[in-house]
Amino acid sequence: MTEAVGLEAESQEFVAETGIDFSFVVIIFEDVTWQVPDAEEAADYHEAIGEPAFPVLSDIYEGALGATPYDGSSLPGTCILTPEMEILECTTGHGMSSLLEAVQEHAESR
Amino acid sequence: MKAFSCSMLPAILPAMLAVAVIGGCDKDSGGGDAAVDDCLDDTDGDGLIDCDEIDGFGTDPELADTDGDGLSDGDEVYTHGSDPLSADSDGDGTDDGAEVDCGSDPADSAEACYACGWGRDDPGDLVATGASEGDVIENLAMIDQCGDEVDLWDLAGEYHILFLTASW
Repeated sequence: MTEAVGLEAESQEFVAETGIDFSFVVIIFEDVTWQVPDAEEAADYHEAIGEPAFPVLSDIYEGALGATPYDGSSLPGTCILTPEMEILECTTGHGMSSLLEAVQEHAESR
Repeated sequence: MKAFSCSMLPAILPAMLAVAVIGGCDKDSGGGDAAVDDCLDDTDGDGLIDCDEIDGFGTDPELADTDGDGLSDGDEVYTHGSDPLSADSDGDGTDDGAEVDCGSDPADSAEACYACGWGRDDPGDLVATGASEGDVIENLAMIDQCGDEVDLWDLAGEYHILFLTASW
């Protein structure tokens, strides 16, 4: 769970530096017992990672893994969405710098 | 009260003219009159001239945000199409200023802010195309930390990184 703790600061720094409209969205696809998360899971997780301003979502209908190339085999999965909801790039792992660079590159190419 | 007749005109005409000049809000009667020039001012700097505030919109020419919803009267009229006399123009329970802040349309009751503050900004013309890179993602419904069921497409309009994880 701690992997999401620094996202708020990273997001704020990125937006301040680039001026790009950007936000993280955390999607919880399993709870602590490997089951489908319930509605309260999002609130609990949100509190545990320091109550960031971005959305923290419980995937109660189990749609997220089937809607992206990410298969859930390692945590976390990360996917960039453009403002038009196009999946730009998906990967796994905690490093955000390359993904944020990809966001900036895409935004500047428009 | 006596019924109006044309024979009364000589008596009341001066008074009518005085009202027109003192009121000063008949833009078409101009001709360099100071009162009319004043009326063309925008005293509160809200983007509406005083004449229009008094005679047209009914807003306060000395108060930039007559209904106190966080939007100037001029922005309400010319930018957002909302009612400068109503803090919640579309009656959806969220003040106009808060709706603009969260990306919703303050004049459309079908658009409102989620409790957490994000807007219902679904652009409406999206079509899901698949689950691979280059596809438009499907419009997933999920529950946010405030307990609202959120449609993913409502978050359109800015870049996102989805951070898919588990609680274990």
